[in-house]
Amino acid sequence: MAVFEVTSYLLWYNGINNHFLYHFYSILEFWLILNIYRGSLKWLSSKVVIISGLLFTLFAVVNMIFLQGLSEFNSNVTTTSGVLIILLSLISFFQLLTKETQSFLFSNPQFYINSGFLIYFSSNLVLFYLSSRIELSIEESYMIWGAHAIVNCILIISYTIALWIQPKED
Amino acid sequence: MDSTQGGLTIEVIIISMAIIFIFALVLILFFVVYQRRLLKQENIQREKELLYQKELLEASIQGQEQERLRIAKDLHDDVGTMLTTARVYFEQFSTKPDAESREKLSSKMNELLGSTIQSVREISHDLRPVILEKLGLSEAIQALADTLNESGEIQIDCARDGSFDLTKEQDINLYRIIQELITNSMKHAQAKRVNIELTVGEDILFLNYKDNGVGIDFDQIQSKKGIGLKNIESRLSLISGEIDYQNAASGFSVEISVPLV
Repeated sequence: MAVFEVTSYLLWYNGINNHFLYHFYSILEFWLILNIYRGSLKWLSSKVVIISGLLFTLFAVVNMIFLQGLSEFNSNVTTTSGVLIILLSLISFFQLLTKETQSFLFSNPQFYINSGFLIYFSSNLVLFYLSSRIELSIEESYMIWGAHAIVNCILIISYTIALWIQPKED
Repeated sequence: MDSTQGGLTIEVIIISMAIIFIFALVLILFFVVYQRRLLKQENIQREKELLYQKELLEASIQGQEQERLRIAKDLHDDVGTMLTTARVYFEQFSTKPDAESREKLSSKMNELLGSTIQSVREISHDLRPVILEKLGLSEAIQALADTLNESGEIQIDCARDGSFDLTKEQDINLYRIIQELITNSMKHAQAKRVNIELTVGEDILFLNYKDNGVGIDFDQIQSKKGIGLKNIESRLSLISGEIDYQNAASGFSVEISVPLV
């Protein structure tokens, strides 16, 4: 993830179109998030993860070749992945509430992961969907991607808290 | 796209992002509040269960203490007194000069020792009925009913449908429960007739108990039980049994179910 971020920044800094990176980043991100939920969602078995991941990868590749080329931002893929991850986080929230042995949500790392995903992907859904469909000036781009960066900070903070706290043993 | 349109689009995107952001936060807050409420309800339920377990334990201890007191009383008043009298007879025996007096005293001592043995047997029988060990619950209940029927104070009818196997623990606990129920019927309900039915279901033994006494307030059973009923529930919890108090029009009626081995 960090490699993608740094490469993306360096390309932008040198005036090179970095959109192609996001075509690959979206696939990697989706696989990683599916893997996070594989451990916590009972129905999300390894088989379901592989099938869903492969289907998503196929969709991303089709989108890359036929719909939104490497020089274009892959809004179709990021929007779809956003919707799916929002659904996964909501399902995980419901599962946390109906678990037999309950511990307080704040002491559960999954709560912070879910919250981070829910806030990040839902807030940015409109942005992901419209980003390749509207033309914006550089200042305007800075403004909306700046808003994205704020929400991204929240996601990073959520990851940090989730890694920081020790999960309670059931 | 001109600058006014672009500005408008930016505004729309940022406002949408802000609205969805707030909505996501509210949703997370809802999850937290809802879970807190669930935890609170669970804690209340857990406290209630703990209190109930505590009450059962207290009833069980009180029952044991009462039983010990009764045994101590029986030993002291019956066996103790008779053995003391026997010792007095023995002391007198050596001082009696003539054979006739000794014969008379020997006969009294023999009679007294016989009564002592009978008392010890009765106490032992109360602790662990021999018939329960040898013939099982059904026969033991019938024997108990026969003994009480002979007294003329109460008429107990027993019926059994099907055969069953119980563990020794189930046997003794069900027997004590029936004793407790009969005691309640005689002591508190002034019942003159009792029906006991043992029915074998699929892996479950049902015990239906009914009397024609004054009955008991159904609401009181649900809210505040006496030591006797708590003792019954305590015994049932030991053998994974359940009790269902029936809201009968007259008298007292319960259905007890115990899993068969």
